[in-house]
Amino acid sequence: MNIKSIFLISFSFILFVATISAQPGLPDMPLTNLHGTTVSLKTAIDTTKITIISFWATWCLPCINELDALQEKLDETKNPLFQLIAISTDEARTVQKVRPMVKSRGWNFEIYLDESNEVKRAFNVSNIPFIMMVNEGKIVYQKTGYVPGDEAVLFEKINQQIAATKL
Amino acid sequence: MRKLTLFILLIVPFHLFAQIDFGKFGNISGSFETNNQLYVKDIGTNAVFPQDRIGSNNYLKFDYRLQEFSAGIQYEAYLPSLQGYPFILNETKLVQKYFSYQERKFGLTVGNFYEQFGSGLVFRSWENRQLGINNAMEGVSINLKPTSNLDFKFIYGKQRKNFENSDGTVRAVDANWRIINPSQANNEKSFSVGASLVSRYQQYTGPDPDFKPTANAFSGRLDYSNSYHTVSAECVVKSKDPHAANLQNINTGKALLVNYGFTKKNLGFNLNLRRLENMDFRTDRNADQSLVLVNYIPALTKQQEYYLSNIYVYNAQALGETGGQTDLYYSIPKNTKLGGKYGMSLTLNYSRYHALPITSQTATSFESSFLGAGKQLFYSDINLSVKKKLSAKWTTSYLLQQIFYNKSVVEGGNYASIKSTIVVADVLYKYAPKKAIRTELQHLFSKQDKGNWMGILAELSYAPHFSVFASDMYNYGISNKQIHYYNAGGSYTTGPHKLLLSYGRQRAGLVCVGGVCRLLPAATGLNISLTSNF
Repeated sequence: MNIKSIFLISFSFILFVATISAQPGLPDMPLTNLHGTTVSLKTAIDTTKITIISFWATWCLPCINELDALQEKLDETKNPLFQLIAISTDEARTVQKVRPMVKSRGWNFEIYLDESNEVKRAFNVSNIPFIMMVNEGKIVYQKTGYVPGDEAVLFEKINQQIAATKL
Repeated sequence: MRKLTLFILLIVPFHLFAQIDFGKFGNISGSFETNNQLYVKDIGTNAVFPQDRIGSNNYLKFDYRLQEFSAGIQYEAYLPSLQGYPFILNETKLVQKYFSYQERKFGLTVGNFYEQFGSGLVFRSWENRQLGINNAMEGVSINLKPTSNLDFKFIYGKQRKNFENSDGTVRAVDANWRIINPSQANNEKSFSVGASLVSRYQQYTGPDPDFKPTANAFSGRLDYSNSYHTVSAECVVKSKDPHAANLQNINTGKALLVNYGFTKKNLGFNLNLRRLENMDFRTDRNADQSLVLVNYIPALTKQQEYYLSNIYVYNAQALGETGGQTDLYYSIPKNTKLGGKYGMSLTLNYSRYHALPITSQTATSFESSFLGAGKQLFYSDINLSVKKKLSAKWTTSYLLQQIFYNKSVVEGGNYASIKSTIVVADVLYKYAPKKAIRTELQHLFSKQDKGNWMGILAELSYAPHFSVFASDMYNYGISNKQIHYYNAGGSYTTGPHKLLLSYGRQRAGLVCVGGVCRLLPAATGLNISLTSNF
């Protein structure tokens, strides 16, 4: 591959990224909670609230840091118009660790399991952590990765959504 | 070049198409990922310089959904493939496609699909791009749910092998019965049982008239949980299946996995025990490395994120191993003497794997007792992690780890076993609501193999878009040769799109994701990657 090829690929990628728009709809998928009950994603989402869906795993330090930060924000703000759902993408190797870790950390948001990564694939999530914000059944914001301070940006966006939709 | 142009021509119209809002006619979503490396000659690392100094792995995926109906494609371009992958390709191809109809009680997929039965011990088709694994099935998958407590899955097809399909055919059925369903029992108790049958056929053209071209595996499993306890078990029996990867072993394959968990406020406990005997199962008897695996056998150890903790990583021994791991999670509550204002979390993990207790052995078989462990130790790891937030600005994490690594068993060859101790201090200073500096200081102490390693990392981030880092892994202490594996780079993130740019050295060694490993050669160069979903 030569420099011209690299340029063509880069140009194509930039064009690709610059023009694509957020996926508006929310595909319905089956989710399993920590007690083994299967519920549909659309049932799990409270449509009267702004919902954050976080894809995470027990082995992913940025994911845990992000969820710790979001739990802190939840405790601080106690915003009744905000719902947090965390979907664990832990596979057979680590899925047994989800429940002990969640209970020990005192996370009190909803946790679901996606052991076969079916939900992760349906949302085309390449890397975790990955956040989606859902308002009135539509995905209004998505974010890949986590750096400290992302939670502040996320809560700004949540407040903007709450104000815009007059929840 | 023609292939590349074709690839780009396919991307552009598709992404323009993706902008169209179909409304009641459904929607299109997808993802794009590109990983590129420009290799640079570097005598310091003894890296083998590739024929083409550029490696480029690219993936484009589209899904169309309309209510119960969905269809999709995956296009891949290796121009050529990055070094160290289990394949060398210089091709582009529309490699996967599917049509699917899923409703509450019935589902049908035709084309490529992924599936998992139980924990995957008997069957799992999956994709991991970092490892170069994609054993998606191509064929038919049917799901039936006649009652709310009963599920059946039927699959028939061939596994993907690089850009082609494997020779072998897989026919499989799985059933799951939730005997106590928490939603029905109005409590948190649940109990379910399940069973799977997986049959693989590959034509045999050799001289042995008694050779069976079909190998069958049967698994049974159960899961129980209540408010505090979880117990699950899965066992697998596989018929004789001599092939290249199991060194023509004719033992009946056996696997047993038992898990127990206990949780209470601020406390969590987990125990996994597993015994494997001749459980390498593939759709091609000549395949090796991570190609066309029918089942999923990850290393049941703690998956670490720090650099130096990932030098000596266990790889499960499907031919025979016995052992397990245990985890203890505890959080010291907030506003206590030890926990302080923000609390403190502790995680203790211990894993240990031995050879099977073999009583007699021939070139192609062995006898072993089912219980107990052999004298040969494959791997052990004890590690303690502590995370403590000191103030609104300062958070610290520490790791102390001690590893025994039987290099001859895990990597193959003839090496001395390695004992190492690792310490890590990770300090985060959040000096503004969206700005932070994170530093890692790591050290690995060892008198064997390559000796000591020191690691340092500094990362500066400005949420939500920017992050830059510089790191070094310094190997010293055994020979006169001391080497730095330096890296520097940055990332730009906007929504679901992330661009990563870095330059530096990659050490040779195992790269493990999800408990499955591949051997990566040393390399130096510029890395550019972009991931995007829409």
